[in-house]
Amino acid sequence: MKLRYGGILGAVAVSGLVLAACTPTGTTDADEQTAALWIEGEPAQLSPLIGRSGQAFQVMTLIYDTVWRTTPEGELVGSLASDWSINDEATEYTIDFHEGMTWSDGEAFTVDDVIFSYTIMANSTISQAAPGRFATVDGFEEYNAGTADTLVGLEKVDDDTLIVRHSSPNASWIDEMIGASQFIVPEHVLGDVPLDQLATHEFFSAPDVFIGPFALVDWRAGEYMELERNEAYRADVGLDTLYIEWGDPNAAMARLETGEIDVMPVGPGDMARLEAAGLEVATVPGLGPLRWAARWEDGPLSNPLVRQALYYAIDRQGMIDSLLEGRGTVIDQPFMNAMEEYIPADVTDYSYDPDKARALLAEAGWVPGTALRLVYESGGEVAGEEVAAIAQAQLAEVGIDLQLLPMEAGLHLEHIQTRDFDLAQYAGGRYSSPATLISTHLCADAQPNGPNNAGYCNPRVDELFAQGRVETDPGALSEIYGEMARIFDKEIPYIWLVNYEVIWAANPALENFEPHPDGGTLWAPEKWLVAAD
Amino acid sequence: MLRYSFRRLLVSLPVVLGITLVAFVLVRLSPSDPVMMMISPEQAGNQAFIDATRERLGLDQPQIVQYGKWLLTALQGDLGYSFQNGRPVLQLLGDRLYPTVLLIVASMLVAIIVGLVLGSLAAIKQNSVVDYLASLFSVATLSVPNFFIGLAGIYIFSLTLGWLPAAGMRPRGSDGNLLEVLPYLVMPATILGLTLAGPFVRYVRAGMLEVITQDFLRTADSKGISRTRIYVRHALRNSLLPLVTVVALTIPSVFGGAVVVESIFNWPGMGNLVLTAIQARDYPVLVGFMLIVAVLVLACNLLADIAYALVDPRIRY
Repeated sequence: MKLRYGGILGAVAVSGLVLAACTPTGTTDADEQTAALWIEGEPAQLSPLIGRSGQAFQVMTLIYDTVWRTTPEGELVGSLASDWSINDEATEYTIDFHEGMTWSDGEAFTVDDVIFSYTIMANSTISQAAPGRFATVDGFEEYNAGTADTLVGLEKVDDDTLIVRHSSPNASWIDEMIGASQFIVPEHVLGDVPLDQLATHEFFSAPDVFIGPFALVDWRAGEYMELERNEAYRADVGLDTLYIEWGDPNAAMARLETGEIDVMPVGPGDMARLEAAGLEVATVPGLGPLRWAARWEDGPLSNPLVRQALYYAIDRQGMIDSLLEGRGTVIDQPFMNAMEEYIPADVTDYSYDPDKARALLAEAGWVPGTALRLVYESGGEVAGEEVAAIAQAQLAEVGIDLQLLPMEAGLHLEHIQTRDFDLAQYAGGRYSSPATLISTHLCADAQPNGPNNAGYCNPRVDELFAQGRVETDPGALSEIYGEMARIFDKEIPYIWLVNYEVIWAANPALENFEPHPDGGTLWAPEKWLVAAD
Repeated sequence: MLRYSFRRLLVSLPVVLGITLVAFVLVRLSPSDPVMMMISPEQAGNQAFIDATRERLGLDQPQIVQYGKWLLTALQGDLGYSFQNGRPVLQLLGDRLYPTVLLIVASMLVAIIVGLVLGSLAAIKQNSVVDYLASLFSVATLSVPNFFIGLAGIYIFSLTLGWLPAAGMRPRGSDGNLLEVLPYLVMPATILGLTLAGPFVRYVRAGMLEVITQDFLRTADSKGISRTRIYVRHALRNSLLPLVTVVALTIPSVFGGAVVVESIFNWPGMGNLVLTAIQARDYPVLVGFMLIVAVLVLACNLLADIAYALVDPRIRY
């Protein structure tokens, strides 16, 4: 009997292993240029109207295209646009597009596609992602009030030339657009769809016409996406096939080591091990820092001295060293990375100094033990929960009782919108130029009217943003944003905690992969190649 | 038997209806709502979008109206549309049903085979090393989380030995016939099966111990029937009744365990879909999933009752 049971077990085990040994684990045609990209989750849809999902954004950078994009170094370049100019009053943009572009189905790409895409993105009832970016475009208010069917500021000159007229001067409009999900979708496919049916149109869950370097040919729900080179793309594309997968990150890293996955975002704690395993790890400073929005309008944090004390009381560099293996930077200002040139030399150094924090709190009349409620998304940000826990301990040292309130994403946002918090923690954004900071600092955009989650309001800052919008002279811009940086230095609308580094690990055979600071953009995927063994 | 089955099916209808009502209310009792889940904090503040989307999804109506509309369309075979992407719920769940059923059937097979073999051996060799090892196995599989076993399995069998694929359901680009799927199925099904096998081992052992001390087995032994025949044909068959009950009752919890295993192995089943739907508060997908699980559980219970009659000739319906 023992033999019989043993035989059954043995047969099951052996048959499994034989099958395993016979089975290929990926496509490896020697002549095919094939790579596999791992992203953090399966996108629910691929719509530029909904900007919540970073993974959807990543896929959209592969199959759609934008009028402009920024290089990993921060330089603005045309993508669909070949050239553009702005009049002296900063009220009129003339944009030329590459001639002869076609969609993957052979239809010509024209300015009509851009006008259609921008018009639906500007519609605040169906576009979550960026309607406010079109606020200065002529006719925006009429269009959203329902008294106009179109944005009159978008004018077609010919198939390859577009004029964008603004009702008020805006020299930084392109910079504002860069921070948004501004993908162009085909007007000839979606143009006749009623607006109220557009958001859930099947095109966005199964797109079949493309203008980006790749075409989505197969989306196996829960498994992977298969992308093929878009033969109609305006430039050469290196890869024949690109697979996109998702799932458990630990399993994905194992597959990165076995070669089943070629490139994926990783955490700082994995860098050393992956490098030791022979993989290439690339990093770049990010554009979406972890921060706290401090409730501005009333309550304990309405006193700027208390907000300054928070900065001094938290050892942000220590957090970066201990939680992120040093892969991050401390910033005191929203002027980060390339924008640091605007920060005057005489601003305050808010390095960790609990004694200064105690002194400031005493000056502010702080009653030791007073509670501050911190709301944050549970498991939402890299090291977010650890940062909150460490901050709680360090703030207790100076007499602040930080109450941690982890919650789900939607509830977190509800707390912010209903002003039910003292501090709200989150990360994200693409803060690449002063224009991208406007909506988070403008009085008119204070919650619930816009993404100014702190509720910050200083009319002088509004004036400076208005001046910056019409100014093109670098010296004058330095003065404008220098003054703004001094105001932020004292008022501290947001407590900037950590500017993450964006980290990707890649198979050394994958050539020309370069991480982009915004984390979502997959930079120049048309240039990716897989080197022969 | 046929009349009994028909009666059971009739009784099941109000049960399913009740489950849909409870599910409909429960998912809406959770804090937050689907529209807020679509918005990230740095893009917040578009109240027009929130209001318009609530209206478009029907969330601005009273819950009883929402349920009535849903029930009316559900009775016509339409479970509504996903809030996240507008795709039909039935299609979303249908795409995931086969992988989930495949995984659950395979893991139940593993669990039953392991349970029967180890449980029987433990009973036959009571208080021996085999018995102790079987007990240890039961406790270990119950105690160690399956995500840990899953990651350990990936490390050993994929990364170190290279025997099995680490994730997915079939080779990329393949339609995935069963032979192609099997290697991908081995690890998730074995790991999910092992975590289920622990209780099965205990039940089979207890059932066998109760049976092998009874007079009819002593009689069979004295007749000179081989030990193997006695254990397999008489003892094991008579001890199967409690196992049938346990297997039937385990089916709902397997769906829970499958969520974790599917997530680790990127298995494209309903678990992954539901996990995302929970995070996004995608009510139609969640209610549709609960409806399908309820139907499956009721069907399994009916099958278990039928199995009783097959296993135990004393039971008649």
